[in-house]
Amino acid sequence: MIDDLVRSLRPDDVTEESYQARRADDLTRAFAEQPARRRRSPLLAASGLLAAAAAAFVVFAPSTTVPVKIPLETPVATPVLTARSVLLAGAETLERTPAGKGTYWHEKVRTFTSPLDGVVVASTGETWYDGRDGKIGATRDVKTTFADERAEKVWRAKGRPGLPDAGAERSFEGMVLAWGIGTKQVRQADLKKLPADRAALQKWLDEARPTGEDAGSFTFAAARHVLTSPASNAARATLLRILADQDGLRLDDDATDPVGRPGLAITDATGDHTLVVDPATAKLLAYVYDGPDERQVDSPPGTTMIPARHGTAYAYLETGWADLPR
Amino acid sequence: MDDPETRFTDLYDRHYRAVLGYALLRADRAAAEDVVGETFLIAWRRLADLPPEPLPWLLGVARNLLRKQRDSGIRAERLLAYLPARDSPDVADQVTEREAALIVLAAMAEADAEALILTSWYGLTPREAAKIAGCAAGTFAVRLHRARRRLTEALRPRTLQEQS
Repeated sequence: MIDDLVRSLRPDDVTEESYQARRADDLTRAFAEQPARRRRSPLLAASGLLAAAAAAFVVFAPSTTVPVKIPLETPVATPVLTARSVLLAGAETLERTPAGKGTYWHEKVRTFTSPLDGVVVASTGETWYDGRDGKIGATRDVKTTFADERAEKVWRAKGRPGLPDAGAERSFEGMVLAWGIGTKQVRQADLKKLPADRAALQKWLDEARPTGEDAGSFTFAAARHVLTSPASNAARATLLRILADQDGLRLDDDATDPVGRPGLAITDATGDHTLVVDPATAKLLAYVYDGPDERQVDSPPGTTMIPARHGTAYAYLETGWADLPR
Repeated sequence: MDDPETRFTDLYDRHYRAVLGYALLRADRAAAEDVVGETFLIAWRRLADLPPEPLPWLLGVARNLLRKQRDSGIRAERLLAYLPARDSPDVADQVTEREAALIVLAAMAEADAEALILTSWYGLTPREAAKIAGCAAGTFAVRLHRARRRLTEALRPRTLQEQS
């Protein structure tokens, strides 16, 4: 019996010996830390910092005494939210959502990057694209935030890295917009044709996933593109169902995205990828990348690879079909 | 039972050996022990988020950590060093057969060997094991079937091979 033979290869003697030798030290090392209830990414925390700074400018009215009636607490049965249940509910919401109207896929995205420790550069970009033509809006609302004065000094001394090019509005003439999803280079037409059938979409993802890359982590990274793309609502719903079946997902049901919108944050098992979802519409509000910096690799001539950087976040302010603005 | 330290200790006691066994496939002992230590540290930090059946989750975390190592392939010589001793009258035959099996496992496509090991060592369902291996259940079933067939063929007694 092959399985019995393979089972007899399990190195039980070594694992038992190691267990006895390491147990005390491993437990001591763990208990030296408090188990975290929730882990917030630096950018989500940074947005909290911004909100706190803004609150400092609120002018309070002179205090007056107002009788306050405190309601008696009544126990309310609330369903337990899990990352899985949130994603599955999102899939159902998407399936009920009618497709939008318009010729151009419109995205308005606020991008947050962290060129140095304690420095966050934010800017807003906008595109309208029909697969061939369209418009790229000028980069707007560039804002740099610092954790402290020292971070600001270092950033200035290093020549203010990370500021986006302040390009003017332009057309897509001579350019093709494509996204690298794993090994696939994907254009708008490909995204519109993404299958809604689960097996077919899983096959597409498996084909795109580079050899050796973790499936859960890859699916999360791919989800960022697909969930904000002109893929059909049915295909997006299927992707949420595939995400829901990943192991080790974590849910923060009290999160805010980098622009302060409340949402549900779902983080994959590696902790590298977080998706912030609006529970009412199942739309992706934001994507936050907390993994290691990706290395720049050679890309085909005429294309530019933008490697993922630790601490980068995208807040999707608007995504959907629209007409070209005048 | 509900205090975090007791829960974590129980988790460690139940699953340390299994996670280390998996890590030893892909790293030498010192590195494997470090990876498993790190895996349980991550589990402690995320204790509130662990699924009810945590072994597949732990193996998945260990797999991710192992992938960051320079040489994380399944190697026959690595496994041979850990081959457990067995008290049996025909111990020589058994050792020979197990050594042969290890060499076949190490020579086959890594994903196929992993499929067979995950299901037979840990009793995971193909669906659970597919998640750890990072592939669809159908793909996993194909890998498992291929690995079983390859091992069966390689270990078939020579006389039978000659007759077929």
